Amino acid sequence: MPAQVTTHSTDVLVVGGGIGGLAAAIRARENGAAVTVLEKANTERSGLAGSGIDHIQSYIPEVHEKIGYTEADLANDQFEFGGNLGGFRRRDLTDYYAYHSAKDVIELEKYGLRFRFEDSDLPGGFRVVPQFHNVPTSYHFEGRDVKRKLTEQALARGAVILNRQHVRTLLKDGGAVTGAVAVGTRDERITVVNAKTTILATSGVGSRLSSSATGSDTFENFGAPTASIGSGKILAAKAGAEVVNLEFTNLGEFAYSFLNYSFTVGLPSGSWWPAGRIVDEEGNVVVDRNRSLPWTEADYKKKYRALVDHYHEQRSRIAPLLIQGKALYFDLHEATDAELAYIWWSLGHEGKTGVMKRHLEKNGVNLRTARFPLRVAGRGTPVLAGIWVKDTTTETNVRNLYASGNEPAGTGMPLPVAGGALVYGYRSGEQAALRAKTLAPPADVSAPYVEALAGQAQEIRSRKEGDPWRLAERGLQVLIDNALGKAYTDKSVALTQQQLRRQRESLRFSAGNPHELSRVFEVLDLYDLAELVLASIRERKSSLAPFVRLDGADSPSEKYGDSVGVYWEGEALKAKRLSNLT
Amino acid sequence: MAITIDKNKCTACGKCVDICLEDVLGIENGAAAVLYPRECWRCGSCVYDCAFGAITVDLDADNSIRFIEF
Repeated sequence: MPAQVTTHSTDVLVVGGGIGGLAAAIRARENGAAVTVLEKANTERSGLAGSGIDHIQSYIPEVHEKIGYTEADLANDQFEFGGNLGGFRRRDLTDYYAYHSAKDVIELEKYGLRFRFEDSDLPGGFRVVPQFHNVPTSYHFEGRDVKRKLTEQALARGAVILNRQHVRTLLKDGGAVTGAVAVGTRDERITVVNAKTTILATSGVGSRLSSSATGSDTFENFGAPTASIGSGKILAAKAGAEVVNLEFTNLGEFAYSFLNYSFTVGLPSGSWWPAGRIVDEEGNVVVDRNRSLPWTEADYKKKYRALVDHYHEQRSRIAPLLIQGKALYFDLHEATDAELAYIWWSLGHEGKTGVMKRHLEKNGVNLRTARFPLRVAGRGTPVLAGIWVKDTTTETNVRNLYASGNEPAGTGMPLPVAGGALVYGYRSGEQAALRAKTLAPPADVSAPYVEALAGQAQEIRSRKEGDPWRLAERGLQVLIDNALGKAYTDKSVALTQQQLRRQRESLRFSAGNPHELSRVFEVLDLYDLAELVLASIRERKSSLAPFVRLDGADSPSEKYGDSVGVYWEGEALKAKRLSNLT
Repeated sequence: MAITIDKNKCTACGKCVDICLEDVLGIENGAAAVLYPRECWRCGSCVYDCAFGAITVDLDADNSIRFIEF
């Protein structure tokens, strides 16, 4: 069966239509470039913010200036966040975010999303919530339809959005990326986009490598949505662009969660949210409820910092208690009526919490009297991974290929996920558009790529009885959870590499329709991602929790200032060191 | 089943099919239908976007949120 191929030409191609991709499309259009977006689902509801986000981090001048918190303070907070684990963080990238968030994030208000509330006692009428910084730094807003609003803005500016297109490979000509090839997830037709510049606005996290992104098995099917496959990293690595920080697979060692949602338990909130606390079986308080601090309080920064320190001190008790087998619960027993009302409002504005809210209502759960068990969550997800960028232009080491959203050099969690996606989306769109102005339209080099892809698709589709994608995905997740969910060593990782190879070689996929074919492609990407993760861990060659070298060799100097970057050169997997010191 | 479609309310407008992140919905016999129930991620977007209030998304009864009243 000959493949049906449609070919498009554009200045800027955006792969992925989440917050970052749509922001890139908006800014690239504003800079005069023709723009095409290839999106695996539908940009109105796709990506990690598809069914909404209720908070987004930003410098908030109206509020922060009142308490003496400067953009420079935010820049320091961003860089030092989590102790700048492993030295992976790039000062140039965190600074760019900190100094541009104030302007970029509030643009969402102009797009029609509500940021100001009559009952707020804060300057500007904002609601502000904490995100582990020295002061609260996130707008709490009505962002349920953020993706619809961004889609409207991109379309109004003349961007072309092609939905249900699963990008499988980037085109490359003479060392530069010149577009991409996609397969329709509903019709398996092939779409070629030849582009002067290409932006990978793909997910920052490959959460689907683990069976559960949060440790909660509440949702039996996927631990993470289709947006969390990590396919952008595979596209990048196969085009020769380094994927970095894959070796940090278990940040924080023990995530805890309940209901797939954390309520930011016990974190001091400033003006709003939350009122949760953590108690043990006997009712002893392990983490206090939040005590709010008025913004007009003298010495706000200092006093707030003391609250944060107190919270962190208490929070550090959770993991050891859970590991000892102690039952711990989250509750809202000390919440006021106003706080509970606020929690209900909030639950309706972010992703799956809307479904959770309905579940609680349907079962007549009284939030004030219910207790929610906490659990240990071991996982092997590369939570800090990203695509290396040369500088704040967001261009990768491969010419005319940009990384957007949460991809640039691993600006994903725990950096500002939605805020970073927006700021770097705008930035990459602007930079890719400016570069495109200097380039002639690329030659169409797609023929061999299309032939290879069509052949692969046909092989999978024509196989009568083969392995279903779901079992292959579960098999991989079990392997990764067991291998990387807790502490691991150089020897155990080498063994896992062998197991992964054997498991993969044994697989013969089949797919009964285009939908299943798309799922098979996702699983193939997950196997590639696992290979990159394991190679990165071995390349790091120093003990970084939870990785332990059994031969005792360790070089402290290796812990700081460099990232491990992995990529393919043809069939060969390569690794190199990239300096984070700028 | 995570998704329930009220066939009396559904007009087969196709909005939910258009926007579903995991691509689990389709139109069958004049109404929206769940083609891949095990692949629903419970994001709730179809509930938000259905203009006719025809869709509900639940957690599975046998694997639902555990809570303890006291």
